[in-house]
Amino acid sequence: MLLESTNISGTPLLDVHDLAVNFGGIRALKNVHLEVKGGEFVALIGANGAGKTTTLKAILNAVTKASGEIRYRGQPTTGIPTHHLVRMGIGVVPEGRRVFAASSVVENLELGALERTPKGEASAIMASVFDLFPVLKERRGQMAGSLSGGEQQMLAMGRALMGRPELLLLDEPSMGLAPKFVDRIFEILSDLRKTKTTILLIEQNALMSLEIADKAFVIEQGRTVLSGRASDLIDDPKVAGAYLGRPEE
Amino acid sequence: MFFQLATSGIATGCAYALIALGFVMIWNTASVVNFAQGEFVVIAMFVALTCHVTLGWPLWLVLPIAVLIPALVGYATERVVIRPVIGAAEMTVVTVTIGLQIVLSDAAKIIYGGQPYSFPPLIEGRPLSILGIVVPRQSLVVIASMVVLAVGLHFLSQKTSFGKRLRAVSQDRETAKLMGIDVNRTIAEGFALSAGIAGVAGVLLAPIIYVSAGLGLPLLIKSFIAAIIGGFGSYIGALIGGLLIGVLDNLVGFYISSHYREVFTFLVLILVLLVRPQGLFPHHR
Ligand SMILES: Nc1ncnc2c1ncn2[C@@H]1O[C@H](COP(=O)(O)OP(=O)(O)O)[C@@H](O)[C@H]1O
Ligand SMILES: [Mg+2]
Repeated sequence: MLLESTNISGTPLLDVHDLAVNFGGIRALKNVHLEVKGGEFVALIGANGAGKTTTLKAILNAVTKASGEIRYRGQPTTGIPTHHLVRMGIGVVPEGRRVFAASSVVENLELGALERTPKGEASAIMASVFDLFPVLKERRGQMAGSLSGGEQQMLAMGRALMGRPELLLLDEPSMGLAPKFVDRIFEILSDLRKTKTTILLIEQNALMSLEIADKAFVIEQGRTVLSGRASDLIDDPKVAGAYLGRPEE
Repeated sequence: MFFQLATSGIATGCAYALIALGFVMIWNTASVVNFAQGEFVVIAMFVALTCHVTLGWPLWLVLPIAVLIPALVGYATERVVIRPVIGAAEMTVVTVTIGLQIVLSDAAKIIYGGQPYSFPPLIEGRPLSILGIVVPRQSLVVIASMVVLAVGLHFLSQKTSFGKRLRAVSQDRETAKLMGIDVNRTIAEGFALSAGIAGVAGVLLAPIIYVSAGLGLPLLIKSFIAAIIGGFGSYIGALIGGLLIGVLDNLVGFYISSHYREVFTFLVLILVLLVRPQGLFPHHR
């Protein structure tokens, strides 16, 4: 099986409460709230510079938080190093894809499994990743740096899935891709949704994200300003005005 | 005579190549230019000297110890001295490794004084004649060791979990963490490996040059130049660069004057930088 099954129970899988982050004297996040329950597909939407990536980095302890609390599986994450959080089940598809350019497609996928998946199981998971992304199978021996942007994005997603994440965080997977690939990425996301993977999708592409998410949080200038069911937010005039007016960002 | 000189040049070149390889490994994994790399070589030489010549321990016991000790020193160095400055401004890191170089080489001078020591050959016997070229057995040992080590390292980097971690960290430290890789541990192990390789170079060089406390810096400079000629960051480039400098050293030493060895090393460096600034094997991260 590709992903660990999760149950939608009382305690959220990920809970971000009143998060603030400073860069030097500048307050990048002031007041971010976020909650992801097991099995949910949650979108975090906001304009460029709103603080989405910083929120992700704070979740991973890749930046220090000024205040607030983050819990993963009910446990405060303060002081847990990034690589431990990953080993605890948080899979990440980082902004800008960040594939290992000088390694082959297969080597990239293996790295996704290295610290998370027992050796014997990795090949079965790789087979299911290849089912999801046939193009990666075609290009398996190719250096990741020679792939197109869309293919690299798929590789970054496949690499994260190789670790059988309990919670998958994706930071703007559609950024900078041709429309054809954007559609493809969202198709794959809705496939993943069907597998009941718990997903936190960070996106500027509000319309497409709200269409596939269960729940969404909107962040503006470092604050969570709106949250609710995705289907409600789509019809919310504030969201429509600020984010859906120009879905082609 | 030319081939004679070239062959023994290849032997010294192998040692330079190994030092350059370790140097590049630290640069790739930690983005640290380690000016103390030559000192790891010197540590291995003096450990070998003390254990073998002074204490009379057999070579089979001494050689592993002489490689292991610099590896441990490399590991400790990373934990104590380098880790606090990883990711800091380049000048900060460089200053720290230069400081480390001075401390280690002065420590060697305090313990062993400035005088040269000679180390017996690793293998006894008359030189062999191969295709009419007289080759000292010691040279063959050096060349064979370097080939075995290079192949072994290639295998290590491609097939083992440690090698995969090391390559991931070399390419992108932040993303390596997202794979669950313990980047700090990998860098420390990379330091140990790199210092261990320098240790191998040390035990191979000990019988062919005089061992002395001041050797670290000239060896560092040779391997630094070898790495630049090879295309800074490329392992194969470091090996080829090291061999090139070894051979050149020997030829210049014989045909021109041993006083001009350094001059010609730098001339080749300048030439490569003028004609092919990216080095012989350009490295892309
Ligand atoms: N390393 C940093 N140093 C200083 N400011 C930063 C840093 N990273 C992000 N910021 C600032 O924090 C704010 C939020 O950035 P980011 O989280 O990257 O936004 P988003 O991902 O929503 O586009 C921006 O104003 C950005 O300039
Ligand atoms: Mg961002």
